[in-house]
Amino acid sequence: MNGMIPGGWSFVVAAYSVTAIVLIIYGASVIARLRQETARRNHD
Amino acid sequence: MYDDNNRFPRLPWIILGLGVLFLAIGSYIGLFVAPPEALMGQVQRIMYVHVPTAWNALLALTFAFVCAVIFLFKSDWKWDARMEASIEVGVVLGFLLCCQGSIWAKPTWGVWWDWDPRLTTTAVLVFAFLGILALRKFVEDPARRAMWSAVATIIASVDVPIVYYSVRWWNSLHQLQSSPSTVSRQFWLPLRMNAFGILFLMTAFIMLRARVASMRLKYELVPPPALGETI
Repeated sequence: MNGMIPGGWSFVVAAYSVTAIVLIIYGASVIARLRQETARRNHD
Repeated sequence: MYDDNNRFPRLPWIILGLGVLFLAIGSYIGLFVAPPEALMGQVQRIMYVHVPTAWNALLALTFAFVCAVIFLFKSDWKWDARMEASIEVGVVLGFLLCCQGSIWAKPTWGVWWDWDPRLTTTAVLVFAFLGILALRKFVEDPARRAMWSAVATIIASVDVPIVYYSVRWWNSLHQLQSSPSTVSRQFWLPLRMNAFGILFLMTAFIMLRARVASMRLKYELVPPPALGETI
């Protein structure tokens, strides 16, 4: 025992995974909406 | 009166690429190169994504405040589009911040969530700006929507400095802000790489999302064609 929290990799992997998932999904949604608006503008 | 926010069409994509690159390198160093912290061990590696997310969430919402003030003074629609974009990005980063914080809290504090001043004020901030996004969704008149949400943004922004200083003003479970003098040199590099990575991603998202809002505004502000024109 040295006072250090043992293990913890599962929490680290969870935090980085959540970060990647949220940023990828949000980025994809922005790009999808941009394409949608561009298509509407070109159609009009 | 109206700006399509499209003078540099490639710029957001370049910034987005830089953000992904910085975040990938910073995360690699944070996960595999930097040493574990003396007390928190491996769990401390969450700091390399949590702290940059916090900085940039507050930055995005501060930018929303600036956009709201400029819109109220200049009535220029591009600032309304930028405000909408920065609020949305700020809310996404705020939500992500709460998720990361919760995951970090469990092994260090023993709980997923605690109604401590920093966490509570952050939750209030996220829900206040989420409410403004809901307000924007429900108001159809662009002028009213812009005016009401600008005023609401200025009011909600009062919570931004409260979130930042909450750990100093009240007795909090959450640790105080770190500074270069309190963070070991080995931890600087991944922290700063990821801070710039998320800053670039946030900037690119705001630019692209403002472009979406601008295009939608252009559509809303153009008067409908006369009946004869449509036939």
